[in-house]
Amino acid sequence: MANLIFGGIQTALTALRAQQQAQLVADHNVANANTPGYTRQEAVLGTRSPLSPVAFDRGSGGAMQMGQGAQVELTRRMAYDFYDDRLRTELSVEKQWQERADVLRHVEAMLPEKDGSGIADRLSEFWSSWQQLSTDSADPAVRRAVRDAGVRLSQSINERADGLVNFQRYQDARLGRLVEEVNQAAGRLSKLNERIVVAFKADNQPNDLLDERDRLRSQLSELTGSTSYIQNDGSAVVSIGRHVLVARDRAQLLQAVNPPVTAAPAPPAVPPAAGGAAPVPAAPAPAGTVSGHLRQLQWEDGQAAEVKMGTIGGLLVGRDKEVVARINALERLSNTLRSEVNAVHKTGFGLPPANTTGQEFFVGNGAAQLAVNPLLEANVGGVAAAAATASPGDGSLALKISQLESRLMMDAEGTRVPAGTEALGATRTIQESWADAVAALGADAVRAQRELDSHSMIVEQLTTQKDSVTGVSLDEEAARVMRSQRAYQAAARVLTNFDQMAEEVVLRLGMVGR
Amino acid sequence: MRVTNQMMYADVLANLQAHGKKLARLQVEAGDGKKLHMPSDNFVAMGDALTLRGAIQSNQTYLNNISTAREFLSASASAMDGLATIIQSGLALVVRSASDTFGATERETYAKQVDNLVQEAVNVLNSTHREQYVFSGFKTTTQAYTAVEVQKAIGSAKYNGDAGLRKVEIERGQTISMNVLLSQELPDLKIAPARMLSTLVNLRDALRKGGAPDVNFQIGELQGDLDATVRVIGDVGGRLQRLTATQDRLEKVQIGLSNTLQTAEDRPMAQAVLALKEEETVYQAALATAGALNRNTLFDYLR
Repeated sequence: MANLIFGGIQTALTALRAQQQAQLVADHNVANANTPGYTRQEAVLGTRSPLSPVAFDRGSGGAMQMGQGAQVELTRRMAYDFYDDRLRTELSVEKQWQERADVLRHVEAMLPEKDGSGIADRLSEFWSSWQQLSTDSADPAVRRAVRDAGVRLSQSINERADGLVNFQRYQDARLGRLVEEVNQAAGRLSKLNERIVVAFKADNQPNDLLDERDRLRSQLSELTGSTSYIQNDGSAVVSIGRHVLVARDRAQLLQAVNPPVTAAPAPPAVPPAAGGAAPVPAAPAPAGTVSGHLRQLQWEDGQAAEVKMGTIGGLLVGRDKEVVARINALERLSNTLRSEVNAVHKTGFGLPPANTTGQEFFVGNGAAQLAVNPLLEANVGGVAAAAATASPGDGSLALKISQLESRLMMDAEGTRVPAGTEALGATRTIQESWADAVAALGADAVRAQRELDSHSMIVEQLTTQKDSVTGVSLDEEAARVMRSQRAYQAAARVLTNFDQMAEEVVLRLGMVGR
Repeated sequence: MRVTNQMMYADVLANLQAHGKKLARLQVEAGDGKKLHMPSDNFVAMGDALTLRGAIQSNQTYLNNISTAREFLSASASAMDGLATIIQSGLALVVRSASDTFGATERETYAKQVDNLVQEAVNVLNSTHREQYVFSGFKTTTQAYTAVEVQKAIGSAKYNGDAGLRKVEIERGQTISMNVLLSQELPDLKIAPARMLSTLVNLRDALRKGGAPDVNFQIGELQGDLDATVRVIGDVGGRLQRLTATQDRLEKVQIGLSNTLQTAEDRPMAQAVLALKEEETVYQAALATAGALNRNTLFDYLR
């Protein structure tokens, strides 16, 4: 009899414990309601194994097993790997487009063409200054206007080329930081893998470590588009392309390295002369060749790493394709402008008495260095407007230069068609060709933004679906808390009841007639 | 489907973000009245807008060219008018001096008048417009004619200019020459100033030598010069008319182009403000929804 009473107390105690544990799990859920990557947990209650019937009377009811109360059998992690994997894949695509869209937005801001501020307007000004010179070729003020229009045009091209090249350098630096982030995450994941394997071996349920593991997997996917799977021991294997990044407790690191310099070495800085004159700074690399000096990704073991998705994938496409395309468009513009204007300008004559001829109007190699010939900057009389010597009123050469504005010489891709074949392949003027490049930039930016929007939508939906399984609902947790609370109160009552029974046995039994 | 806290807040944030973005965009559009800011706003329209702006600019240049050419041609025309007046005065003098009864003093008076005309003619031939010699071809800084003196009087004039026709583009591919070439050596010569001078010089010298000049001959010569001058004035007038016609057309085209550009890049203010108001309402609704989320949970009822 006493056995049964103390057994009852024991059973009620298991109930108290189990409900307390369930409350703690709900508490943990509430605490992490807003933690990113947290997976909701649930205490799964079960009965303890019953006591065998041997100890009891075998009455008419047959052998009866005695229940031993409740216990928390496991704390279940409400994960849904299918959504997780799809979400990670989509995230890596979304991040790639996000980076590309960001790059294009920056580039758009760097090539402003809104009313009156763009290269197109500077070009128009330049051509019309030559037109004006053709009507008034001896007027020094008009000549200065031509020079200034040339300076403004070349400067606006320089500024944009410089901006793009600097942006490329910034991206290069950013690549280094992102690679560092990848390596840190990979390092953390490899250590975490080890702890998870140990925990599983000890028959523990390392739910929070698993959350952290999945968070790191997502982070690596977002950065590099890596894929991953879980091994039976609970550790994650992450790979980028066909190369493993993390396996168990080993992480292979990524490196952003400068490519071997194959081009001619930079000119050595000229040592200061004996007189103490300032050293001549080495000439900066021409804009078009900058991409050759950008850092490339490789693995620790020296193999080239191919990262196509994720933020890094997007950054590489942005740096090596989108920005380069705009730099090339500027290069084509400035080179065509320089060679076409110079070709005509060289045949002309400046003002008497010097009657200079054979001079270039534009000098400088590449978009970053395009400039008006310093000789003309110093002396506008050298600007060639006349087709013959000693003809101050002859504006026919200026007219010829201004007519370059409407000359079809570029193909639809923005390339100068070989001289002499304009009738066959040239469909665009210099100006139209630049407008094409601007429109193409807009089209690319729109495309990137649309791709980003559509993938963001998918990510959003998948996140919602994932959240609906793994996320915490406060009302739900409140209901669980209430349920556990009530059960806890009931168990406490039962315990009190058995306690009274025990009191009866211990204090009052056998006291008849006393 | 279970609804979780993160889902609700993510939804709210996404909505606020989306509407906030639209609102910001509309604010910019209503602020400057433009719908094209970046190529990606509408890359087709942006390409068009750039081409249109180029066309408007070059049209404007053509309009400027037209007014420059008109000024220069007008200057030439008034110089030619001056020449015509001189020739007419010469004609009048010839008619008056044709009388035998003139004494040496009167003839000298007439000769002086003719000499004045000769000097005046040289001055007119050296007319300038904004410090450029009108009749010296490309050599606008060189005096067009220098008088050559014979016995202390102008005997002839020497042309110092060249055969340069100053072409001005007045619309794409259309040029017009804005100067008049008078020099005798030229194949397309319409008037011969040297000859005209020599007629006047001959008249003067004949008056000085005494005896009546060959009136009929002089009248015929001067009449021929006058006709040629008037022809050139007519040609210049024709060119001026062509300039005016082109200007009228270009101005109309300019208006058309500006309208097209406005359609491509401008956002009508009423439309922009209306859209802004609409979006503001939606944004406020999204904010109100977000506020409603902060309602009680079951936790508030736990004892």
